[in-house]
Amino acid sequence: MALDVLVPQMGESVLEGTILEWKVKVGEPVKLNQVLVELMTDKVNVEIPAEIEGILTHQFAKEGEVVPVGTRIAVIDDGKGPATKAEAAPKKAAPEAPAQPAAAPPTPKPRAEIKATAEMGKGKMSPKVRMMIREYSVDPLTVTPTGKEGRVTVDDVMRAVEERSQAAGFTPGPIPAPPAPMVAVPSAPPAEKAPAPEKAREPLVKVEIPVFEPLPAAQRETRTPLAGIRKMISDHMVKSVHTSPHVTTFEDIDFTELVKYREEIKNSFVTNYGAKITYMPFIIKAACLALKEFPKINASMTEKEIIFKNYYNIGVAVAREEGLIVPVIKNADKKTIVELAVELNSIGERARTNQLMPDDVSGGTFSITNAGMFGAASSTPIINQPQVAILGVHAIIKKPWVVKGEIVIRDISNFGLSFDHRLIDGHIAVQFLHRIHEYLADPRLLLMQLR
Amino acid sequence: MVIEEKAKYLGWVLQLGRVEFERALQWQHGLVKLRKEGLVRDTLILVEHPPVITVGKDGHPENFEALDCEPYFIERGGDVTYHGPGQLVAYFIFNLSRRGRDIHAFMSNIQDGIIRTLEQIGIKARKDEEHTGVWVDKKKIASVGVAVRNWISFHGAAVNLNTDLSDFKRISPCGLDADVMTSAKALVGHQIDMAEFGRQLIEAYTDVFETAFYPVRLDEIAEDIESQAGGNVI
Repeated sequence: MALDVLVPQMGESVLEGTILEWKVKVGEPVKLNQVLVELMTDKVNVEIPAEIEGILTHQFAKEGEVVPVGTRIAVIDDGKGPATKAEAAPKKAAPEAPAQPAAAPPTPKPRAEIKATAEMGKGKMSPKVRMMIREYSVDPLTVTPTGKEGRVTVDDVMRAVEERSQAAGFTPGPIPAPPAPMVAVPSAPPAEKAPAPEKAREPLVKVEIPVFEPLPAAQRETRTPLAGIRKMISDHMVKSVHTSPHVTTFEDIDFTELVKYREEIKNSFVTNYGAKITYMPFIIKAACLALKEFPKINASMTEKEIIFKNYYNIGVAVAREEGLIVPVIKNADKKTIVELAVELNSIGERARTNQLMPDDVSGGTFSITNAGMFGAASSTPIINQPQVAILGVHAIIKKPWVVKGEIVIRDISNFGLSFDHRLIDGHIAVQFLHRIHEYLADPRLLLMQLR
Repeated sequence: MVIEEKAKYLGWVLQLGRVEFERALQWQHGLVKLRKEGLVRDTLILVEHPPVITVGKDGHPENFEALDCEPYFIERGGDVTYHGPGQLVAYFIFNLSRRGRDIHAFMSNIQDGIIRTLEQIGIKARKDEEHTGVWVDKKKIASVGVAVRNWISFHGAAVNLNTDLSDFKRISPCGLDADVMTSAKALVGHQIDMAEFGRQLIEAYTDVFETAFYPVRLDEIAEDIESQAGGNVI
């Protein structure tokens, strides 16, 4: 049967190619995927492979000729089916690859250095097999090759894995899936097994769910007394939720401009000031300006009175092994972005090394917590009593965003503002959060408020 | 705090540092075969070469006849070009069958990634309808030339960051006058941090190719490449 070789589709706007070089002459045998001809288009050299094995019987285009996509440029005859001119081609040119003499294994290419690692096992391995050996962490020396010419097959590796798990005491022999394979392992067994089609559908890795004995009572659970900082956090959280009717309002904040600006300055910032520049100094600055505009949010309350604070001490939650702590940046409204960045670096470091003084964690008037550091896209924070609001900032994620009727990609972080509904009405909280958004979306507005 | 949106494809990136052209070429050949077999992911290679002249399939002898050394004749499209220190070379071992077999879009993406990254260092670059490559005004800052074998791409692009432009004078790059070449350093007036540029380029290609590129080390895949390329890798 003869198969036409066409100039392939190479993309919508690619309409033609130039024949650079025929790699196979008329009358010559071709193997599957062997390069027949090289085409050139738009500084791309495309090698056109043979899609069947056979004999190249015709060429319809000369080297240097420009051929449109879809043109028939050659014919391959596989010698099967209805008789064609292929009969005329030299019979000796068998379509099969020249067979190696079965008895004498081919001498491997001299590759001295690599031998030590690549072929340490008992047999030769294909890249696929070697990849499996790596993924299952199999010692190549434990694999007994059964393939042709002493090759290690996929089945050999699986057997070694099974033997290893049996030796380790897993009698049912469930084979664990490889740890997050970086490379897709083709699930079909190797070609030697080809004649058994139903076998070919069996999964490469059969996973059985293991059943485990319950642990002895003494080991089932571990108990420790609730004390120290954990007890304090626990009491504080319960008290806060009981005291303040929490409401959380959300707004997606456009960070695109700030992300750009920070990218520009972050390297020189470290050089100049010895501190990393994060988004937090900008958020603190924006929050201080918004707090001045909405004084109810920078306040606290007793049963009898409301206390408006005319100073702006911003608590910034820091995660630690022992539990959350909220060091306070005093008079944040009077500090520059640079000063805030440097102070955040030092206070964060002191928090993580347990060097905070009591003064460092008291006197806050408003708090900010950054769950985005760990990837959170959104959350509802709990108010840090006796304050009346807390701002939760989250991961900056690239999102489709509509600007002037067009979809564009913007850097977006969802902010959640939890507020005490006893004191703060919804419209105040929403406007406050929106004001923060305005400052962060266009950091130039921060300039307008410089003193 | 910035999290990449979920990419459509997973890929690898190999950052090789300075490596001889011929050696990198062997790795490319090995990776192409492995990619065809599905044994590696789409791989972006970033590398810098010692000075070397290469000629693509569209090479015209008059463009490099004055050379005092033997150029490499290689599979990519395009004419003669120069690689050397200060130039960031990106090779793309991508399975185009999984990306719609659109060669024009692929070439366009390669150039777009470079344009975006140049923009970050303050250079406004563009594509040119007639002459493939990345252009700043009338000067060429990056050359692009690709080969496709079994729908696996290889070769790629060379961006002149701190390249000594006088080296181009030994040839007629891509059949053009050597003066047409420029570099980022020549444009902005100071040395470009190649590692940082490479990092930004990977980010740009993450967007452009919708591919999350995971860094891999050469020694992790060296054995496989070597067995396909038929030579020592490390």
